[in-house]
Amino acid sequence: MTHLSDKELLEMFRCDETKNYAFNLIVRKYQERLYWQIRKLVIQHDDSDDVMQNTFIKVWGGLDGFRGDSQLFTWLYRIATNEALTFLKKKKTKFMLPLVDYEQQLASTLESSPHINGTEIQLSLQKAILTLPEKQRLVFNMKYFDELKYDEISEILGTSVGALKASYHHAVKKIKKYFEES
Amino acid sequence: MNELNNIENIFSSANRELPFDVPNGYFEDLPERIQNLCIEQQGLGTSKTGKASFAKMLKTQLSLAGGFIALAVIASIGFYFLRPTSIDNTPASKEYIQIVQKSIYNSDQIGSPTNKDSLKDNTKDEMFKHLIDDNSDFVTLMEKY
Repeated sequence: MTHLSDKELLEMFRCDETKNYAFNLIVRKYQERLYWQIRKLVIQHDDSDDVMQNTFIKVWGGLDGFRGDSQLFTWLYRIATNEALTFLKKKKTKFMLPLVDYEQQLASTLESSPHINGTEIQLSLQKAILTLPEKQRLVFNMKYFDELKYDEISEILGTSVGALKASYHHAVKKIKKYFEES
Repeated sequence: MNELNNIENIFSSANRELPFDVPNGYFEDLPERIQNLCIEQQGLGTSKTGKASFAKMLKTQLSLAGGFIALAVIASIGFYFLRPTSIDNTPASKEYIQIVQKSIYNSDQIGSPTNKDSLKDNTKDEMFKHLIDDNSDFVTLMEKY
């Protein structure tokens, strides 16, 4: 993990001699956080790997145009989230399924797929999250697992803090209901 | 399952962990792999752009040429079917020609008899009638016929 700041990394990236090295350092710095964000959405490791590659190809192509209006991390997070959602939509189109059905399919693969392990309660929580609408799912994942602040989530998703708080509240209620019913 | 019944337990900090893992060494190899992929994509993108523009140009030219060829073929086919024919061998026109020829032949027969004897007789009668009407001399008439 690099100790260089985002600003230093971006300056290095803009210099032709250090561009590749800087990009490598950026990948190393943020890969795990982005991976887990993607993995929570697409569930399967192989799919997450594909989305990671697409995300960083986009980052490579767009980093020159990054003006630094937002934090590098939120910019990367936004790209990763959009790529994951695009991936899910493509899957839905491919299998001619509504998104909710594909997510039910994902829930059923939670116990049998490779690189998935954890306690029964952790797996049940993931299944409960997969029943949430897309926006609530995103907000819940960012708030609960990544412990991001509402301001940061607002910057990533382009939604007001008030709306995010409401989404999180609804998500928690639905998850509690899911466990009560099961 | 008792654990699940305790709703508050679901959101305990212990459950903030994800039930997922990654293959061994995944994060060690990923930066290198992504770096190579990006460089490869960049190279492909450049050559693809060049190829794409050439292909696009070629496609336009071929479309234009194809259009001209199609037009020429249609024109040739049209000319072949619509051209004026010098000899019409259709049964209907054959029949028409036969009818016309027959009518001409019949009308010729009416006006000028082809039989020599009947021509002679007709001419003699006419001549006699003419000489009688004209008060011609009978001797002259006898000399002549």
